[in-house]
Amino acid sequence: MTSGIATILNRHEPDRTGLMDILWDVQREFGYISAESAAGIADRLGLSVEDVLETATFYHFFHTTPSGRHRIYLSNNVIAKMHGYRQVYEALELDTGTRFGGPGSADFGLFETACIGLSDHEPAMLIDGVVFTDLTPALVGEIIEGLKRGDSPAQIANPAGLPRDDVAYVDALTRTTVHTSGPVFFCGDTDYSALLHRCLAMTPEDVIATVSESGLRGLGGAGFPTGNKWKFCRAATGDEKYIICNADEGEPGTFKDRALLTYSPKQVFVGMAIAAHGVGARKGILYLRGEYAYLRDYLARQLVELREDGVLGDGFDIRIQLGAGAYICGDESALLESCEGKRGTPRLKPPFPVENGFLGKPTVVNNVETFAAASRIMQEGAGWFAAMGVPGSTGTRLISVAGDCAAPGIYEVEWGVTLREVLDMIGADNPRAVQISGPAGEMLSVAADAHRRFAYDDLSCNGSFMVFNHERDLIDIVGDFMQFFVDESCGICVPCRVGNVMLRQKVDLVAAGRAVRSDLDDMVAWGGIVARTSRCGLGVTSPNPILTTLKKFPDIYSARLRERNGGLLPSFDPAAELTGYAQAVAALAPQESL
Amino acid sequence: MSIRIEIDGKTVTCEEGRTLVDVAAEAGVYIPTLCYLPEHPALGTCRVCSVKVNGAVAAACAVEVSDGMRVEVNDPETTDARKALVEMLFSEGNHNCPSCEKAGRCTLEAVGYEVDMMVSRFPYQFPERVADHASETIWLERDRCIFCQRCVEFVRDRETGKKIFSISGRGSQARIEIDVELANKMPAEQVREAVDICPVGTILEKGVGYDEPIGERRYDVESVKDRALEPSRRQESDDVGHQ
Repeated sequence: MTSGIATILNRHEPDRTGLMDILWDVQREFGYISAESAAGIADRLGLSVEDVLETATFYHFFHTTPSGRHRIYLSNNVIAKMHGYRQVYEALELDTGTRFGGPGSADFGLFETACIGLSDHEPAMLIDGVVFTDLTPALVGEIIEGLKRGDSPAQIANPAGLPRDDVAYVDALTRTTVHTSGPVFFCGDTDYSALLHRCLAMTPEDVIATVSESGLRGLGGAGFPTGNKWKFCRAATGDEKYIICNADEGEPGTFKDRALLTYSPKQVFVGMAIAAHGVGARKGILYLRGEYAYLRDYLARQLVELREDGVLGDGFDIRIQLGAGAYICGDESALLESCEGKRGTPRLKPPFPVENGFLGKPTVVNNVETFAAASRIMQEGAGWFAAMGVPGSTGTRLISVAGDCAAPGIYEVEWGVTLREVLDMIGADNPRAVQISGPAGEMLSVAADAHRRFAYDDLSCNGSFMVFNHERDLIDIVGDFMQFFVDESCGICVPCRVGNVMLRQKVDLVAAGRAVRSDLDDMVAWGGIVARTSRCGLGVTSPNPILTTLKKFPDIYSARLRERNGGLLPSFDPAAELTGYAQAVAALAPQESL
Repeated sequence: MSIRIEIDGKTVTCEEGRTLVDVAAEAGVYIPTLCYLPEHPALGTCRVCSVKVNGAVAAACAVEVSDGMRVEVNDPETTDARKALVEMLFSEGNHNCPSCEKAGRCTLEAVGYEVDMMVSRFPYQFPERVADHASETIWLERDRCIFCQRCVEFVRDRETGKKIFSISGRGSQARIEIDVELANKMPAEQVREAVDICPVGTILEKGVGYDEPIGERRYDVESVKDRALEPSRRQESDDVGHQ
């Protein structure tokens, strides 16, 4: 074992729950996780080498082959593709002299990655964990030149040298516009110490009752009543319990949790402390997605301040667990697996995390926004919150707005607001379609759905709101969304792992103008099978891009169908088949000469 | 506690909390399975045992029965979904049953017959998968792996409990791996257990081939369904992995 690995291992407890942190340290130090590093880690943690690699190879940001001194991840979400992604992609290849998906060079490794939570400033990329936004080919040129000169990504992104634990640093990097202030979110500073002490003076049962009376439901998307979740966890047997904040904000298009963590981190952390009092937990974890690593020093500083103010540290404390690039870890049970140093594979339910969560202990997992809302509810009262919104969907929620509109950014809306009202508020530009709740959600037709309301029983938005005007090719967007699910499926169950590949191929067939009507029937039937039989929410929702557009925009499909193809099968493409023939001849030629 | 549930309209009396697949088999209703091993924790990976429980589709290997539960096994929609899942597996990998060492004792093949699969409705993917011969006693024929996770979860190093088999990558890029150092320590009888626990022909023992004549093998002489419905036979064929 080299001394570098030994030094890293000595910084960590010999415990599997530290595996993600160890892998991050090795990845940063050496640029990849070599076989030798994996063997060293395995030895230290008492695991087989393949077991360590099983975790390492699951996550986008861990590499098991050399990945360059600077690792560049370009976000390939649909919003980026509407704003010059292709030009930026080409500029990166040209300026670094390497290719995406290729082996890279000693200096650079280029990778595409799913949405990095910056849809208000696409195209965007991460270099060694530092984010660069609103990219143009010219800006890419300057950045790569700086790196070649020997400047660090942080120096280039932060020429003023702002301290990395300061909000000004995060703000300089991301510049997210928050268009609203209150009633629940972004309403300025509060005396969090006083708020928490008021809550601690209440019985845990009263705290939970207040949250229940408010009607608050999980704002990550699933909408489970928060008070019930806390009550079940409180009732679960065991004296060691956990509060976990899900900051794995991976749904393409959404970035509101990042904005909350940037501008209201203490509102979130105090929400966790309140939950801890409610359920009787002493330990908390903020699971921060790897894409948001540039927030870590800042958030750690906030935790230090909360300890100094006596809010944390006495009875309850919070640590930060960094993820490493995996949409599926937004599923609460996959997140728990990841916290335990394993692959982010969703668990079978039941048992639910409130009974059997982190390390088998009762655990509350709530979204960032849910904890922030809980803080505010404890401050203003359940009645105040419940008076907003509509029955069954009380209070407000944040939406992350991106795409074809005048003012992208974060907005707080009261439940019950109509799609039309939101479109007017954000200055939507000739909108034709809105993808609500990301690819896992629904493609809405502005013509047909404008009157519909945001509510759990109608448009149960999870915060992602992407607007597409009449110029956009919706089939391309559907293809992109399906590719996202193909890339992000964990692969544990058959329908999601296999079915999404087949569905993606069908969309390609439509896009290429080689599909017939029966292909559309197949898509509906196969999509239904994937949705019904998949193991977790990712698989259950993955056919939605196809199923919802087939319903709302049947014309985009029927316009591309072909009825006949001479005497050939409609899907048969002679040109493509002949290309394959040429490749086969070229590949076989050297062997024949042997 | 004794409870009553309904399976395809028939009332069944059973003990609360038992696994639905087992309860159904004892009541004479066959639910196909690939990843499930009786007496082992449910893996819930293949989903081939999907049935309707109180109207919603669930994997029967991961359902504990409770009083009043209404189960539909043989409704047309769910029956077709189970068949589709088996077809997906045939399309995803490279399965050449007639030339496979496991033919006749392969659960995927046997279940394929049971769900009346003739040909896959899904396009064959013909993936390039490289076999792994590095271990002294085992070779991994990756073409056939269905990622059921049986070997990953139930075959461990006897001394340390470490994983011998594992999955690398994810999604459609996932790959079965073997820890050669630990595999080389496996006693002969554990190697055979690993071969037997694999429902397809991925884990094979080196130096052994066609030890039983084709035509006289496990599922050649008795269908996977008949075995599943006969408790004593079921134990015999599937009760492996006990240490």
